Amino acid sequence: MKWLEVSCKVPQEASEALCAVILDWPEVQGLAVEGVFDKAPLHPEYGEWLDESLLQTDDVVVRFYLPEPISEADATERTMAALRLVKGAGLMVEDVPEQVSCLVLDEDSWASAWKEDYHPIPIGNRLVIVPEWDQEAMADDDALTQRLPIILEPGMAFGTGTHQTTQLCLQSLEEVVTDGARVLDVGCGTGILAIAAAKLGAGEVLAMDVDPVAVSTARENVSRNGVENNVSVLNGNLLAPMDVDPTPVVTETGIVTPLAKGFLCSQDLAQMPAWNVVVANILRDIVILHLPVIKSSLAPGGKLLVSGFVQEQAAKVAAAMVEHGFRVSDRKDKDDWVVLIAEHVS
Amino acid sequence: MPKKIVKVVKLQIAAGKATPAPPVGPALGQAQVGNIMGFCKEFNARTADQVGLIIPVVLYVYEDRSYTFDLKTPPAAVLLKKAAGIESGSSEPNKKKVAAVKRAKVREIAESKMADLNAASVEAAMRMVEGTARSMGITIED
Repeated sequence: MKWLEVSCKVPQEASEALCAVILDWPEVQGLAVEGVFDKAPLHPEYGEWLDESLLQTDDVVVRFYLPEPISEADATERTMAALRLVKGAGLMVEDVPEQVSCLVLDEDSWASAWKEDYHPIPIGNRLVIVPEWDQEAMADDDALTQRLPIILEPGMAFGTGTHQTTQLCLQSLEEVVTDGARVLDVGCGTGILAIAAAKLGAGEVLAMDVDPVAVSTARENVSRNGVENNVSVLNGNLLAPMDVDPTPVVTETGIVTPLAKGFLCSQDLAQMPAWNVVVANILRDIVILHLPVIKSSLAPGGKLLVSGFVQEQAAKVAAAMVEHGFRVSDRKDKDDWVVLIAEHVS
Repeated sequence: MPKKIVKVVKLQIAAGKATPAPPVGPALGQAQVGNIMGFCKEFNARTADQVGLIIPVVLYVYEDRSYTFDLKTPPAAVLLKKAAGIESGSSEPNKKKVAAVKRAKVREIAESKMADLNAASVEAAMRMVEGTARSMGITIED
């Protein structure tokens, strides 16, 4: 997919008003403004300082993105109209076309920025995450080659192994996955947790995600790791209505989610044998909403790992788990992120 | 360890709903921050209680391409809409006025947003907030 990046240089005074006008355009999902806003760094006590070039900017650049097809001429004219509005409102701004510039961007241009700074990451006692393009480098490191490798091509899905919550979940999976266990990964992203579960000995793993892009990425990663026989990846939403609608819908995040045949929802889960381990590394509120359906599909004595929230939110999640009949048995923290481990108690 | 900030980018995005789509992906990509999804996850977790609001977030990128960010209060435009009780601004703000707010309210918003607007004085911040209001078809009353 291609986008037209529109940049508009304006005095600081006019930027708030210009942003307000542009954010009212229905196809604009947010914008970026470059220039120095705070004259001091956020944490000077940590030894931060601003590069000198940042201190010299008087103007700021307001940058927003329009999905193609749209011509540069149309985008410039619409931006000019917005500038005229701001000028008409009494703010200091020029409304000349030279202030506006356009650039066509391909989605790949930012999606590939990853690779340069991504290297093997040892996790816990037994796992190592290996970027697909870095396997040869790892072969020279004896300590790493003795670990179970999870080979990843991160792409546009969450779960590259660098985030604290992913690492906490991986460490916890090392402790709770037993040979032959049945493991459910809700919100699988790249599939990293599902693949780890399989490598740690799980007999059957189901990974699911509401985002079809994540599902295709996870399937590729499953195949890359040779665990296709143990891991299935499905597009689904355990919070979706029972009556599955075959027509595509646009969710609040703007993602088109095809609710097609094969889309996994809670009644499908109810038909399956109970799970020994369920892991959900999503977000606080989404995790809490999933608790009833997870409870009904987890085997007695089964383990639930939840993450995706920070320390100040952990108490709310723990309280919700107790309310839904779980016993919180362990907790791990990394920086200010948390994983909670609970047991299903009848 | 001393950390030099080489780029400062302010984003205005919906609370709890950041995705790698624009503006987040390209803004972080151009700032050479590879971990776009990591940012989305952090931002969404920290703004989970403010879903429905646009939240400005200032991203500070360090020399080693790591980053930190600072969440701000909603933009002046959002506070103006809330004060005026409207969902969106006028499509023709010059001709069609959609609401009015008291000057005292403008001052209150200007004072609360003064630091974020980088204004030298309350009067300068008020001028920016009044201009934002007029750009949206909101008139100012005494």
